[in-house]
Amino acid sequence: MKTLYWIDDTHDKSKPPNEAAKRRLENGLNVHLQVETIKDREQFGKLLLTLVGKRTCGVLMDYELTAVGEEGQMTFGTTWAAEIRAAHPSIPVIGISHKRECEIPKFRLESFLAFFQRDLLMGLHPPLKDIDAMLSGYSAVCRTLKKQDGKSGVDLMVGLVKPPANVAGLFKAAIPSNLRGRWDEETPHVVGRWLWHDFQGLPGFLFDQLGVATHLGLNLKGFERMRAKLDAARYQGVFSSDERPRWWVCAIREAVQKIISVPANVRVSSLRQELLASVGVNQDERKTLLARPYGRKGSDEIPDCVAYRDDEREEDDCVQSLFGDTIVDERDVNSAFGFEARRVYAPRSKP
Amino acid sequence: MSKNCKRSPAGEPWYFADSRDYAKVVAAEHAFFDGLVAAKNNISTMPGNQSLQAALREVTPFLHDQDRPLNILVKFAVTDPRSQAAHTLLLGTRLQPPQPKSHAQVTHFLCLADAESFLAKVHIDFDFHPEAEEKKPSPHVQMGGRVFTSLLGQHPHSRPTVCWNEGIDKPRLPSLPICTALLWHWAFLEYSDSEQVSGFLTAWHWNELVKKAEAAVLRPYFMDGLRIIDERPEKGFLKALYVPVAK
Repeated sequence: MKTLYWIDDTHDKSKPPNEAAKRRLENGLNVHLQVETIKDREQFGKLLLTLVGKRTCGVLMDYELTAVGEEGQMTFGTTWAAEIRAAHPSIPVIGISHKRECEIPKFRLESFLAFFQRDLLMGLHPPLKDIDAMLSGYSAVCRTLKKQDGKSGVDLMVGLVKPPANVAGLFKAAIPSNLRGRWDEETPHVVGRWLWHDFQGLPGFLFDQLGVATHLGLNLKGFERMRAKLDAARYQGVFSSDERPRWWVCAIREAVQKIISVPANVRVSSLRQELLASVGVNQDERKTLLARPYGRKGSDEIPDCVAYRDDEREEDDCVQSLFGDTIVDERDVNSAFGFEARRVYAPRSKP
Repeated sequence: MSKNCKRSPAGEPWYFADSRDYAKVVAAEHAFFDGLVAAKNNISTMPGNQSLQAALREVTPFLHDQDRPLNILVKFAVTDPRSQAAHTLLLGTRLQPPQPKSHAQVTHFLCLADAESFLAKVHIDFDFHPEAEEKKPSPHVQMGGRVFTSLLGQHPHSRPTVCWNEGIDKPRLPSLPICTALLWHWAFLEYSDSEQVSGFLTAWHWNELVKKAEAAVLRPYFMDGLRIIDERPEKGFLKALYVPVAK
């Protein structure tokens, strides 16, 4: 059994996980959770020497380590996360904070593979599948690095993600330049971050649940009735997680075509009644499963995009909207090729 | 008659069926834009053209799913080869998939503008309705006609002069089938000395994209045309271009 480290400071004794939380993480992830509370730099230096890549599956680390800096001042876990990565590049370092990710400066996040809120990790339902996807995904990327055999980074990425043939070219074009050439020992961290935050986090190649529901003209409840039929379109590549499921945009149509006959190039969502009928939903119930455009009560129009409710861009605060009621979030105007700009709900006149 | 010749819903021999098959037209467009995105760093003048970069981003949803509509417009600074006047070349593509109650629409257009005016415009339409209400060849090219909203938004002048009668868009001339790659290439050949254009014509990647587009779009058209001339001379090439009129 591998060890997962939880590195915290001594500032507040209630911060590290209690026994129950520790047990939930250990049982859920099948790891030994080693909690280390660090009081000073020297102790961290000693811990660094005892970490062994082969026996360690990852490190969960406080983003702000209070009173453990050189002079006892607050220091950021980012610095030490970089040190762990330099000393043991095969160990993924995941950040923990009581803050929301959007409140932390963007570049400070980059030292961590991903970020979780402390309350969530220590709660009754920690995101076990997400953490597991990260640990196993990172391990798969490291194995790929070891076997690169002169292959380009583009080839390695294609091997890890396995894009459908009809978007393989676009996927290759979207791979950032620093991952295209030969990889080195710290590249898995950058690969992991890009795959988790950009490739799976941004609209473009993949739909999340609300995105795929909207594409089908259904609400989330309606989508759940169809979900099993769309397994062929699920993203199954590296870093895929059941808690954060994604579906290939380009594969939805084909999956739907296996369920009902779709005339060439007709909008899939315009066939939502037929789709629901195909899984045995009766006409009365269907009405409750259809997507409705946000802000247009009683409208029969089919929403054609997902938009953030406001420009706070909270991760889970998206609504199904009519395209015309939304604007492109200008922060995404120059998004990378292959990705779509995120949209914000902003009707020109109140409906 | 060739075994490959399709029939219209009315039972008439239906030539040029590939040019009137929206799925095939869209497949050619998809292959082109997919290749253009992949070649974006291999064509020297592409990175510097902001409107082209913006258009390629707008193409993204269509690249992921061909049933999404596409409406893009790109601009090139060109010099008239004879007068040496500075013009803006605007090239547009609009793909509207069929909906349960409407037929698909495909329009490509080319417009020339200067600082004050829209100088000239041609657009090429495909008609997918097998029994059109109005007799027209498909594909066809039309000169003039209304100025699209997307064009108005691109002109630097708030009220540019339109140098043609917007109410007149006839006649419809039978045209080669066109796609975005062929429209751009056609325009580039006209303005081959212009700096923003010449980089395309000399780029291997660009010429490969054009070759593929010609094979996908022009080959079936000419094969059908040759078949008509060889096998149905009484039918006539031009007449076969006309979509059957609804009765």
